[in-house]
Amino acid sequence: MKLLAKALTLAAVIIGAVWVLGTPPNLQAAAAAHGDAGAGHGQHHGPPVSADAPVLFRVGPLPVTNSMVYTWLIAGIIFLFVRAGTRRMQEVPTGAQNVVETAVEALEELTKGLLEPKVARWVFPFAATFFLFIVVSNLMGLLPGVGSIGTGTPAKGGLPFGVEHVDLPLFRPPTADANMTVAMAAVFFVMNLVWALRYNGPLGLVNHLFGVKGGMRGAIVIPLSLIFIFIGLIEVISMGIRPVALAMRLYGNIYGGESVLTIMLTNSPLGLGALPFYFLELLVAVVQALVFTLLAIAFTGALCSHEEEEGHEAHAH
Amino acid sequence: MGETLQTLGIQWPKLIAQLINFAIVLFVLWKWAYKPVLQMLELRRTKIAESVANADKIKQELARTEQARQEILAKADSEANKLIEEARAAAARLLEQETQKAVATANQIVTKAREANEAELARMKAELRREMGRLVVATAAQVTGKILTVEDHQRLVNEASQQIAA
Repeated sequence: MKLLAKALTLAAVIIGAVWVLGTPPNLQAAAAAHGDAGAGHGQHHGPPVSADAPVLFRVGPLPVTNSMVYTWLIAGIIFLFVRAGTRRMQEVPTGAQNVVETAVEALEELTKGLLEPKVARWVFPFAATFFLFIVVSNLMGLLPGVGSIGTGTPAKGGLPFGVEHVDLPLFRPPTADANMTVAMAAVFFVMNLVWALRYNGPLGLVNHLFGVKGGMRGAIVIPLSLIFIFIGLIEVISMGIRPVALAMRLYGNIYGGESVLTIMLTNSPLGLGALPFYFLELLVAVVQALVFTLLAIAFTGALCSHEEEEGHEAHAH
Repeated sequence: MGETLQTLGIQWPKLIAQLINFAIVLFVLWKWAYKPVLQMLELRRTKIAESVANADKIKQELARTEQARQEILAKADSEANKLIEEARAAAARLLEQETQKAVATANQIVTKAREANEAELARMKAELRREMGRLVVATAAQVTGKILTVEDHQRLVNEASQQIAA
């Protein structure tokens, strides 16, 4: 699925490039003139969407970025929807309660299906929140106005409040802000460690990582233990890399999507070039939320499972 | 590393702020989505299990009732048959008794009739004897032309009676 999404993104970029190159000469001239003007005034340089979330204002020493503002909005919408769904719960669900129940039950089933019941109970609230927050953020990031309403150089002869390029958008999807994805990955990393310790115990965790697996006995354990210590070191390194990969994968996909949409909106007639990418981004929005959640569950499952079972499975294979 | 973090805009205050934001979302969802929904699902699961158990119980009850009904029907049937048999036997017995009674009565009537006949016959015979005795006496008186004495009369009657009887 991820490969498919990447392939589609690549194809989209190529199509976009062809579109821009194939734009009629007068539009190209206009774009060039715009570019010249921009260069001339020293205005917009660099990527179409800034890699970091710009600071809108400061509360004392604390910076408030546009992604934080949008996070609050998203949190508020989630809160209102969830309250509407569960304020007066009925045994025969209707409306918002149906939606909330379906989402919670599906995510609970997903977690239970991949983890032991005990571990699933610990992981479920976090995994479900990862999915719901990411999917709502991603989808709300596709709403018109997100990333396109803000301040910038006023456009000449355009509509009132029109800008040449939005230098400081009012909203930015939180998942397109590395701070949020890193924060979520950090939560996962810490909780993953807590669950692993709770499940295995400190010694058990060390044994789980560095111990000789496969139910070997006797003298063969001595050379094998060296190999397994090495494997354990790799495992520890990968434990450190996993959250980084989670954070960067999500950030990269959503930020990339934002960038492609911005390029296509500003560089195609009436912004129609962005239309196919909206469908792609709808898919990416859900897929990336699922990928983050599933990987978080799978990584937890790798640390919180019984070694004996693994040994038996290894024998069986 | 530092440059990458700089490019991505990762800074401690922003990171911690987003961490708090995520924690708030987690709390909101935990408090108002997961907890009530999971409780409701559990409640529904319990209710469904109860309903299924009740349905089983009702089914068993129904089967038991049906069995009892069948048993009662079978019992009633057999009792009815027994009653009919008894009634039939009683009727047969009664018929037999009545028949015997009728036969006895008929026999009695016949016996009485026979006795009456015989009495009548005896009476007629006696009448005849007496008539004959009188005739004999009358005849003898006419033939002999003499008036019989009481003794002769009695003697003649007796003789005639003896002869008739013989």
